[in-house]
Amino acid sequence: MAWLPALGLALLMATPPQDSPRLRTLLANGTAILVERFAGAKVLTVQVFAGARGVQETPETHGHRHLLEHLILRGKRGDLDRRLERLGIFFTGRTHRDALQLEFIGRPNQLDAMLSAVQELLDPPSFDEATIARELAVMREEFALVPDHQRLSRTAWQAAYGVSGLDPFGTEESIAQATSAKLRELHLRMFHPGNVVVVVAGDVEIQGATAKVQPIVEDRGSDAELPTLPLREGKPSREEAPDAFGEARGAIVSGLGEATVATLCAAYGIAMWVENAYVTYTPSATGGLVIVGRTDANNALGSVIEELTEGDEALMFAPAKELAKGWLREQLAAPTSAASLRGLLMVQSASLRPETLLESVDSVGWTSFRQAIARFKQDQAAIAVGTRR
Amino acid sequence: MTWLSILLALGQAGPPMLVSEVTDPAAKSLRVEIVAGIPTSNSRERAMADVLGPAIVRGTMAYPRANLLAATSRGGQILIVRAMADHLRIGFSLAPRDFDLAVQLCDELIREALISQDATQRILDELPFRSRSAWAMAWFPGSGEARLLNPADVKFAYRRTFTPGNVSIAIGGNFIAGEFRRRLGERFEHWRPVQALNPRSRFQLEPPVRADESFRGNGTLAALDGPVVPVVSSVTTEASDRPTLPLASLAVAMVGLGKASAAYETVRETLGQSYRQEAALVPDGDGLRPVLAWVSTKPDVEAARQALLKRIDAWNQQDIDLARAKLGQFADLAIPLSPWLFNSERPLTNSLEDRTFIQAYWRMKTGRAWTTPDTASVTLDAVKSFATEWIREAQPRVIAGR
Repeated sequence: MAWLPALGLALLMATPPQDSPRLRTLLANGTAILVERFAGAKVLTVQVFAGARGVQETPETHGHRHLLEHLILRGKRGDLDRRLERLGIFFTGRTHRDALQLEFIGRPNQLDAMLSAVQELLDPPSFDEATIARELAVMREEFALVPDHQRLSRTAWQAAYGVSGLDPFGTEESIAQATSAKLRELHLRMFHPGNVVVVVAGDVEIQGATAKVQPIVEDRGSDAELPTLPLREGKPSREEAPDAFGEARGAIVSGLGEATVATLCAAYGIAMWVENAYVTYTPSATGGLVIVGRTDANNALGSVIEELTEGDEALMFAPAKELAKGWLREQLAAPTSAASLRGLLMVQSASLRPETLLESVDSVGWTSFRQAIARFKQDQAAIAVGTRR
Repeated sequence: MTWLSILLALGQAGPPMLVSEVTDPAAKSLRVEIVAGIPTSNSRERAMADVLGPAIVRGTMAYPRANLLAATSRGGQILIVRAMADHLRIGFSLAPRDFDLAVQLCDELIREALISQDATQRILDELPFRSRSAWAMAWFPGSGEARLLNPADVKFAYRRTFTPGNVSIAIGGNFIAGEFRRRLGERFEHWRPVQALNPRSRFQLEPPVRADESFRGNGTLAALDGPVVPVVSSVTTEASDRPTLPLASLAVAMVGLGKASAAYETVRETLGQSYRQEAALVPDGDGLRPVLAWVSTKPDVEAARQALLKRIDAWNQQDIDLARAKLGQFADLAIPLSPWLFNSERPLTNSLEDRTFIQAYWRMKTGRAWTTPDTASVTLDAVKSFATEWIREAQPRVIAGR
């Protein structure tokens, strides 16, 4: 099926006066563009998101998206990221379970250079086997660097979700199975127009910036049907992580509703309560984990959580909500982090907005907070315990 | 329009500590950073700081632990405590109008921490299980040994560390310049040094035992340490450190900052030795030391050294111009890509938290306000010479993970 020249559906989003003005444009081919203006910002970011619909991790393709991310950063000539950095544009990538994120950061006058690079990465690539082998060698070194919190998170996800919780990092063995042809095919499916969101944030004129992005993405088409992402079904469990030190507890959450927001609040409450604890959460519409962990002890987190009294939870309640709101507000305050959060939500569902999460924090009540704390207890949580010495 | 104003406030009429104010009308919270100096030559003191930080935030006279945690989360961030190479840091955020609370909490944390025996003993019991990452080992080597400490030592260390003249406080946010200093002056008007005696003072004569210097992780850390760049001068003029700090900052940027750096091009791209390689200026004694570090499954330091020296020798005007631009960009782009790594495994950014911290820290270390080093007068020859000597002469530190 050939795509008609897109007549974009532009929606000026209703925003309170103190918020930055945003323009969301949904093109006929399914690609979404979001431009947000931060008046006076010295940084401009362009971020491209490619959703995981049709390219979810399987044991056979485990980590192939991650490898592709590495190769995309190199561009057609093998040095795109370095070329851009010489222009003062920082180009990095992240592979999440639900999306691939490519991020350009530069000055407000560098939009054209960034969009030129976007054009380059959207074109179907061709990688020779030597280039792939060379990147595999770099990734082997990356595997050696995986920190404990990431190892614990991986174990908790596997405990809760099995194969559907495979981390996007991959393994040396699975990534070694990637070929040039497989990666090209993966690129086609991953950058299916319906899977792509482009976000621009900074001191830009929103109509003008949208008009510059549109020609790059509007003529792209695909005959392939885009499947919906299946919901993940999590179960409480406990697994040892022999390659990690520490402990992590993942609360199983589904979607981005009020229960998930309450769980995020609870995670911050626990992290405040337990010394040196951290919170890890990547918003997911299909089911995920809100993780609290420690990597400087492997026996201190769980016992504290199990022994929390109602009085303790009462003391945590208000600060926990402040901390969750603080995190969300911080994300939305700057172009780079705002683009990151908005893009990650939009690529999963056009209706998802961070403001909804922020508003939900205010409505978290005492009962739902206590229920959320309970999701971190051993009968409900996905627990990873590091056994490395 | 965002503007920054920093007021130096040290003098006989002011509060008995160093005070910096970072005013930012766009700030959505108040940020408070308390920095206390630690003698850098004594690893026992360094070990003490590892225990003292957590002990302080277990509660104060007016704020039991839960209340302290609640009060210090009003700005949407969790209270942090960090013991680093030359200082102990306590940082917290408050709501924009919590000015009185900021002053009160500073007082509570500096003078009224409980340091209870039970809580301190629990911290001491947990210490043997704590680990440091490869990057913490790279930037801040030489962690002290805490086995010889007991709760009495820690209480003594609290009085000795948080004493007039050894504390620097900075506040960042939207407030009237000078107001924080005035209120702090009133609050601490009668603060005088306490002549504390350590009941176990004989233990201070014992040589410290080196801590386990390995890290939990795969791969091997390789680090090349450069010469210490002095930043503390007995002459308290703003110009006293300019010939060296700008030079070292540029050299660090060109050796190991980002994808246009010598380390990325050689250690990663040419030799395939690592995924991540970085250089930074880290605290060392009265100065800062440039360090290049990478983690590899197959480190070959000499091959890396030779490749780096060759690349440094080929640096041209374009390379130094790029590095200058990069140093100028970090403040605007809010990316963790600067050469100045003073308090964590993440280099300085332009967040309110970091801008406030650096003023407290730099004032404590040098007596002056921090300003981004002006590199305009640094020549290509000078930076090549500095980087060549650093990489050529460095005794490598090679530490295996376990």
